[in-house]
Amino acid sequence: MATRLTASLGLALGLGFVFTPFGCGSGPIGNPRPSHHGSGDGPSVPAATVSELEACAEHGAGRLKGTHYAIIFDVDVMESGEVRAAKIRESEIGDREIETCMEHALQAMSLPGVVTPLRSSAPEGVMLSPHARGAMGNVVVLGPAVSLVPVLIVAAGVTIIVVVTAHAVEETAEAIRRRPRKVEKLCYPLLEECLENPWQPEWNRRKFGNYKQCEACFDHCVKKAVWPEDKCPRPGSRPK
Amino acid sequence: MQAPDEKPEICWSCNENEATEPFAYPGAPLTLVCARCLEWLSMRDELEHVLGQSLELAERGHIDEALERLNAFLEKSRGCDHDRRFARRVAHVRAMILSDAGRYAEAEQACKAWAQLGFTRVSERWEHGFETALALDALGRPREALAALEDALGHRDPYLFSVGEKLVALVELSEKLGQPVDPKWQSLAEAVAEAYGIEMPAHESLAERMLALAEMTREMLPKCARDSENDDRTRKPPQLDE
Repeated sequence: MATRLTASLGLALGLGFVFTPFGCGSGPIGNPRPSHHGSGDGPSVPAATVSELEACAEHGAGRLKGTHYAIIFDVDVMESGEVRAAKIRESEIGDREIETCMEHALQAMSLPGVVTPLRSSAPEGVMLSPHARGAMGNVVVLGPAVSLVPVLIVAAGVTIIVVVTAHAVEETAEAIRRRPRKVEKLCYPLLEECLENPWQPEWNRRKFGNYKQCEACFDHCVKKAVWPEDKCPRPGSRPK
Repeated sequence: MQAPDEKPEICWSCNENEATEPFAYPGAPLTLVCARCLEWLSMRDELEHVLGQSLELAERGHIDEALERLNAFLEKSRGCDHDRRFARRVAHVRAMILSDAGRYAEAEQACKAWAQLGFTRVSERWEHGFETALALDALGRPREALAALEDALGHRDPYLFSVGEKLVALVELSEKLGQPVDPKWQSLAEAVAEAYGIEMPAHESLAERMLALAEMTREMLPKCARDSENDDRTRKPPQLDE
C-alpha cells in the first residue's frame, strides 16, 4: 500500500492538487472551507463535486483504520461535458460505501471543455496518457486521456487522495445510428422486465412517482445504449 | 449499529437474506442488499456493459475480440448465473455478431448452443428462431430456416416487440420456397394489429398484409408498452412490508 500511495502522492504533488481539509482541521461552520488549487494548472474536479467527495469521506472516514489512502477513478466524458460513466480503477480505501459514494459523485459531475480539445491537440499543462481508439462500454474512446488535478481530502484525521482520469468518448448517438437494431435488441428484454415490474421501489417513489415510465426508459436505452436505472430500477435477484 | 432487539434489514433484491452490503443504482440512493445479491447485481450491470462493448467491437470489425469479451464474461459470471439468464443474453448477442459478420456456420452452432440453455420467455424463442432462420437461409437451407422460424412463432409472444422483421422473414422465406405464407399465420397478423392498435391492412394476400404490418409497426411499440396506456394512477402500489 505504501508504495502505491507514495506513487499517488508523487503524482498529486507533481501536478498540484485541490486541497480540502475537513473535520477538525476545517474552518468554522458557515465559512467557506479552505480549498485551493495547487501549482499545476489544468482541468479540475468541479467545486460542487469536491464537496460531495468530502461528504463521502466525512461519512465513512471513522470506519477507516489507516491515515492515508488513494483512490483512482476513470471517467468517460462526452464532448458536451456530460460524464457517461465513472469507474474505480484502483482503490486503497476498501470501504464500499465511501467508494460507491465517490463513484456516484463523479458520475453526476459535468466537465465541459475538458475533453473536446483532445481531438486536435492536448491542452497545456495537462498530463496525457496514450489510449488507442477503443471501445469502453457503449461508447467509443476517442483519444488520449486527461488526468484532472488530484483532490486531497482530509476528514477525521484521514487523508484521501482522489485521482481522476477523464477519457473522451464519442456521443453514443452516432454509434447507435450505425447499429440501431442491435441496440434495440439489447433494450427489449429490459423493457419486458420493466413492464413486468412496473412499480417503483419505495425509495424511488418520491422522485419518480409510483410507476416506472417503461416506454420513456426504453427510448432512453435505444438512444443512449444504456438502461436508465435511476428512473426505472431493474428488479432484484429472485432465487429459485 | 443495530440495536439488539432491532430486526435485521432484509435484502430488497432477494427478500430472503440479511441486507449487509451497500448498493445503489447510478444516481439513486444507497440501499442495502445481501452479499449474494450484491455479487449478482454487480455482474448484471457488467453484463450490459460487456454486451454493448462487444457490439461496438463487432461493428468495427473486431469480431474475435468481441467474442472473447463475451467468453470472458461467461467465465467470470459462471458462479453466480444460477438461472443462466446471463448466459442466454450472451448467446443471443453471440449469434447476432456471428451472423452479421457473415460467419453463418458458426452462427448456426451458436444458435444450437443457445437452445441448449433453454428459454424462459417466448420473446427469447422468437429471437432464437429468427437468428437461426437468418443463418440457415444464408447457408442455403431456406426450408430449414422457415421451419425454425415457424416453430418459434408457434409460441405466442405476449409482447410482440420487433415483430416486423419476423413477419418479413416469414414472407421472404415462403416466397423463396415458391409457396404462399401459410394461412395459419393470419391469426398472428391479427394479433399484431390488435397489439399495436392499428387497422389490419386491406391487401388481398396474407403476405402483403404482413409486409404492410411490418412497415406500419417499424417505429412503434405495442400498446401494452406505451406509458400513455399504463398511466393507471388509481392502483395502489405494493408496500415493501406486504
